[in-house]
Amino acid sequence: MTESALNQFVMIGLPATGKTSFLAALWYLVQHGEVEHRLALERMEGDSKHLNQISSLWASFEVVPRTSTGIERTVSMVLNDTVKQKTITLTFPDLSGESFMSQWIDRHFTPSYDEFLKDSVGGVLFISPLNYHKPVRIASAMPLLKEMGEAGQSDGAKDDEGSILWDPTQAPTQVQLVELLQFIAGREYFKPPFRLALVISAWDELLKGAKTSPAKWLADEMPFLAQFLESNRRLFDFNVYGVSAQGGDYNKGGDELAGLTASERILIEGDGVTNAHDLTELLTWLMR
Amino acid sequence: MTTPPQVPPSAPVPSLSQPSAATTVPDVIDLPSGNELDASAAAELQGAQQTRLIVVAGPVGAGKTTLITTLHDLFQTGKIGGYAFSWSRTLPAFERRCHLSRIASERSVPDTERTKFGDVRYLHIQISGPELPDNLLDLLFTDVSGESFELARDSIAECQRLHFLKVADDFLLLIDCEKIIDRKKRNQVIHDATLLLRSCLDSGMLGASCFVDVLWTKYDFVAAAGNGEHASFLEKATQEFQKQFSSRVGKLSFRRVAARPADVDGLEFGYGLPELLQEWATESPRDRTMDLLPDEELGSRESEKFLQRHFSSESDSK
Repeated sequence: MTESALNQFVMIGLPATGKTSFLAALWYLVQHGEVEHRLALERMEGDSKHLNQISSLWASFEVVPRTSTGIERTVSMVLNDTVKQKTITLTFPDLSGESFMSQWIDRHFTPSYDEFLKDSVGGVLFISPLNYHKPVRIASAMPLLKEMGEAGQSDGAKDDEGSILWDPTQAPTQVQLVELLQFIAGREYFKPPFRLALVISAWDELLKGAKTSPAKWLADEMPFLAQFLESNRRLFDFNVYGVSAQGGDYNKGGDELAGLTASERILIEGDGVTNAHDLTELLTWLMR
Repeated sequence: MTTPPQVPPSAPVPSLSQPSAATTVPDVIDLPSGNELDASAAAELQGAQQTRLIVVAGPVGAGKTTLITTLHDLFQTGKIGGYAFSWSRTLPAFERRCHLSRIASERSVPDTERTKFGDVRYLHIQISGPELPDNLLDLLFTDVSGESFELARDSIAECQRLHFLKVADDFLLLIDCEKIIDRKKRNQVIHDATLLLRSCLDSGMLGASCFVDVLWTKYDFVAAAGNGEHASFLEKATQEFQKQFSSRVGKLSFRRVAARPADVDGLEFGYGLPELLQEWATESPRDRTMDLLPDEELGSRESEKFLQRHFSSESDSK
């Protein structure tokens, strides 16, 4: 079996977008043969305590806790590519969503993130379809809000005219994400094309509605980000995936999910995906 | 052998606030502020890549900032007339300016934060589209207070302080239709606008190749009035502008614009802006004058500079 170089990827995402759940499901999947998957755990190496903890929670239908603010943790997996018969070491930083929000607000990288990014060959950008800010104009929304009696109810800081002051955390999610990608492309060490897998998390929730694809969802719901990516294909080589790491809402569909083998709870959809339970297809796309 | 990870798996990264004595690690890596650009940053951008400088001129309350921020808002809902958003150096600056038109402000009526009197600031958007050279076009908009233009209207010396006029590709002269529908104000509004344009030309600040667009902003007021007399007044004003200025500028155009229209049939959000963008994308005052840039500098734009940095050897070898 041949050995390969380190494959280092950044995981990018605002708070509660499914980064840690993705890692938990992936760590479980690669260790078990419940469903077919291209990348399998070859050997344990180093300290796996964090991965073990989150994957245990995931396996027992418990919500995986979000990464705490301020903690910068790196996780690694030594995997075997069963098709190419070679060893791959994957390394990800597991940073809190707040740390990415801080990039947008405070306009800086931590030195450790910058160092990690410098050596990364690609990234995974997580987007939650259940929790994101849209740029809603007053003219289009006010009639409905008045009808619902929901206009002007927050207690945020106000200016002299009674308007809530601008809060960058409430800026449209797609604008924040474009800025995070501009930050990456703006670093002097940036080497295009940077492979970027976009993960629309909680994909099971979107499957309940009208049929859509991950790429279409992105174009419809985050057209600003979609335009940025299309316009900058030479900077970002991207593919869009819909991923359900949990398989569903534990509170609503726990019994139904419990009837599945754990790895069958995982769902992935996107261009080029051949096995709907194999999260590692996303990783092999990043490493292709 | 597998190269061991540089950081042990699952190990918290050592605190960077307490670097070892042997190394000096910065506390943070500063990133671009995203604020509106000052004259120096704008000049740097223009020097580094081909950029279209669009001066947005008019008195206080004419809708200058609203016009620019509406472009940003329109891109958030999709392409504008086939052109896509590609890059911006001033995203937070745009977002702050859009805030009072969004429900997050908890206002019942949309507004735009007034640009304060002071130094010129710039907002940046790069667009992409198949008809553009290198598929990209950088647009740099001035964000200048109405007071500055009022001073420039009344004084050649004040006008000559507005250095950005010298390098303008486009001069958008905004005329507020909310005032046009007031019979007692409308003549003065047109008079003031012609004085401003005349001052910019007579002072030698506005180049003869510059494209001038007279924008009838807040056109929804004229449309809602449904009064043929207002349309007739605009027609006469148009003829007056043409008579006075068409021979003195690169191109003189007139457009009806309603960036944020009230509920008037036929006027969508950003009414008139797609046509304006189309003009910027397809016709340049530089096409009508001598080519000032050497060939090797053409096409050097925001995203392209990264590619040039990283692919220069590749392109050299071709």
